[in-house]
Amino acid sequence: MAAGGVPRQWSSLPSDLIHLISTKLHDLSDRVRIRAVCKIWKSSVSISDPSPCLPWFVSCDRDNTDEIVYYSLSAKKTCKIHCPQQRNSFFRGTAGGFILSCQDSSPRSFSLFNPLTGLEISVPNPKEFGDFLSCQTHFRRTWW
Amino acid sequence: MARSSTENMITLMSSDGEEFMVTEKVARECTTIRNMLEDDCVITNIPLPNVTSDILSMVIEYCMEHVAAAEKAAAETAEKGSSSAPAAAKANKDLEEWDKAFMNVDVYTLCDLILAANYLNVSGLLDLTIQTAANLIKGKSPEQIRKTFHIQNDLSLEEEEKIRSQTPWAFEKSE
Repeated sequence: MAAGGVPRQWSSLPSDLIHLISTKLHDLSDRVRIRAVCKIWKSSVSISDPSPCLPWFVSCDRDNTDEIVYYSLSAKKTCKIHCPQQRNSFFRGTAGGFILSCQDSSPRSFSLFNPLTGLEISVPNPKEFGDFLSCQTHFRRTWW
Repeated sequence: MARSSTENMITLMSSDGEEFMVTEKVARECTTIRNMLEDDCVITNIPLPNVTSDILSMVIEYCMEHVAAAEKAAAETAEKGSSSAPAAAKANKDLEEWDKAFMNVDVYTLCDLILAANYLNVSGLLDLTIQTAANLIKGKSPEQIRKTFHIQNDLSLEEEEKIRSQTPWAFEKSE
């Protein structure tokens, strides 16, 4: 597969095999970084892939910072994600990659926020969440 | 081995024309070949145009080792009537060590082995090679990954910047 004497094997590995390699990466950061290697690797790997990643533990201690602090089990370290839009919010729980975030405003507004993609879905009617929020313990125990 | 002489022998031919004679049991470790044998049981000569001789010899070496390990385990079980847990654990550990030593290859060979394991459908070898590649990626920056695998960056500055700006947390230096 060498072209003009320059070995190009790894960049011409079929997409499905690159994807297969990515499923063995249990730290989301690794999956994100391999997308920045070259075009074919970028198109072969998705960070929202359902294949198992070890969960991150998100700190509920917000302290009015712009950062979301999480602990990565696979990397065994604490990391931060810069999210200025979440500065005045506190977290009520996590599920499926989203954080249920509550903006400390008047009236309070809730949203589902994915810090990896930046996607924020506002919750149209917070009052309807009253019953769900009473199940906070369950939410808190949910891994992200 | 005396028993091998009575087994069916299959000739596998590499892309560069080299012939490898293996027992049917070893050949059957490759699901692709097993399917061919099941479709046509009199087939004895199989050309493999996608696999070079150096890689094919390694795939055969892997299959022979794993067949031998399975035969040894089966023989011990038959002899003692039941499998001994410590002996089985030791055999597994030995095979793991063998696999680990087998993966002491350069990245080009690793790439060819992944392609061959995928083409011949040797699930154990595919899993081993894919895991080895993943281990080489873990914790590295995109630049370090490119250097490790000799990959040229064909992303435009804009594309790269977009990935970095969307997910800056993945590119921050640890510690």
